[in-house]
Amino acid sequence: MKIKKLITAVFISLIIGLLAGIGLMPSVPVWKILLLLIIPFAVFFILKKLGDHSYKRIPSEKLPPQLDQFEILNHLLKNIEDGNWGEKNQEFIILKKTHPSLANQLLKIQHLYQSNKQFTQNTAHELQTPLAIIKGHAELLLQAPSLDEKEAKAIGAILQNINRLSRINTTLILLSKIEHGRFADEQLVCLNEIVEATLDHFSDAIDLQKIKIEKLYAADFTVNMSTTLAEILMANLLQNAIRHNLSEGHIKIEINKKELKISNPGKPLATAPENLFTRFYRESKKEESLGLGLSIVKMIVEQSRLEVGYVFGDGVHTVSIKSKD
Amino acid sequence: MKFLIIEDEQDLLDLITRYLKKEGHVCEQAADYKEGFRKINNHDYDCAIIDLQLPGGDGMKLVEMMRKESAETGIVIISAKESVEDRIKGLDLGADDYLTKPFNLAELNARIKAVLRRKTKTPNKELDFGELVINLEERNAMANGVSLQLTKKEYEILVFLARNKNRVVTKDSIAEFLWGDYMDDAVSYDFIYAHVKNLRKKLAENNCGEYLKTVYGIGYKFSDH
Repeated sequence: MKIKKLITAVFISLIIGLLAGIGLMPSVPVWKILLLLIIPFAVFFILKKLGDHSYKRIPSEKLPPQLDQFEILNHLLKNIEDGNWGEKNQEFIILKKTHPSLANQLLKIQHLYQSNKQFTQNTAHELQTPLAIIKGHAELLLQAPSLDEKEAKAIGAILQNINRLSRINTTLILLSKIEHGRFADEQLVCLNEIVEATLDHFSDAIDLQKIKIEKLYAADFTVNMSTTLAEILMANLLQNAIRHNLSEGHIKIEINKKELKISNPGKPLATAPENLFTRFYRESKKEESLGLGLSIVKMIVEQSRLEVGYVFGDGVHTVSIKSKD
Repeated sequence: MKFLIIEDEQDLLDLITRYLKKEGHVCEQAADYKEGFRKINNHDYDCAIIDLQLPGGDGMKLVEMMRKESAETGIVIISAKESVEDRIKGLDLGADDYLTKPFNLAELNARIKAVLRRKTKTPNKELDFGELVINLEERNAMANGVSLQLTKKEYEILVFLARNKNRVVTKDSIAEFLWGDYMDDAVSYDFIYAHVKNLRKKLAENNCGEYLKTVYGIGYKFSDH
């Protein structure tokens, strides 16, 4: 395209130059010569302008078929979600030329999405210090020797709820960190080992509820993922298996090369399984549950090229983690 | 012992100071980077508690400087930054422990004591309360000369309470100390209840039942008198 235009421009300037040469033969005033020298540049410039204008119109004829347009849009939306967004993005530049108002809307969505994410993160961070101060004051207050039972219990309730707040907070920070993909410790992780360490960590809970652990390890399940996230993943899954277990129940852990399954007996779900992975969804009304555990699981799994599944049958809940590769 | 506390939230700075003064320590305060810098340069401390986000500079630099100044000073970082990277960086620069906000004062206190114990050349092998003696090396306790055969968690709870003696320690603090963020409140309350029950039984069997008191169902208190 460009070369063609350039050749035309050079060609035209040559002809004009030739004409000018002929024109120069007889004695001509200087201004005429200057004018003739300028004309080729002017023509070149106009052509260039025209070229730009025609380029702007070309896409309407050369528009990719409808489907491709949707694909571009889809791609852009995905970029927004992944945070790989840049206004210099090739697709966005095309969209801006073909559908400016749509591009503007998209830009707005991107800003909203970004500021929403930022908001969660900043708020959660900013809350840590005031929480620390309230907690400290309440803790000191609790040491007053003159405290009666009513007062002590009130302070106890304050402390307990500050703790709850701060746990929601740290969990939200964690979620937003996973969303931003900010975990650098990615390496080959053997999930069997992580399961073992987590079981050890929860040995109190397991012993106290007299839960039996049944292990069926056929092979090592290794995944390329962040160690921190792997630990959080297993802690969440096993904690659920303990919390929603029957007393004196059991937990079965099956691991093979590409899959890990954790199952435990328990009451059937009160809702459709899809809701399980939603933020702040709680199956039980128990106050201790934040309702964030499984949404963390889902996010970690998505980040680590894994899949999570859930089934309930014969009074047994089974959560499975599968490798996508 | 002489402490330096560097924290820009005046309220938090005062709270920590009050808590540590009750332990009988001398506490100096610094509310920003500059003041912290000056105090580190001009005085010696047994322990420094340093916040990372300070007006006027990065607390990490103060940690580094404090460590260069003296190898014996215990350094505990307190920060709202909870990432593993920050933690590793802090410890690499010479901090002895890293506590994320919001923390319990009881936990800060227990951690400082553990750090100070590690730092001294001839560390105390035991916490001696007369009839009850906690052996920190064998991780066990003797009540009137009888070994109590404590489980790991029983021992940890006992030491945590003993390090905060004569103070009410809530179940939340104990839960956080024992399990970190992973455990739910109500579930962990049950465990703590079970552990403390066993612990008290073992103490009572050897006439040391007076040491551990329940405080209105919200927490426990270790008292040595």
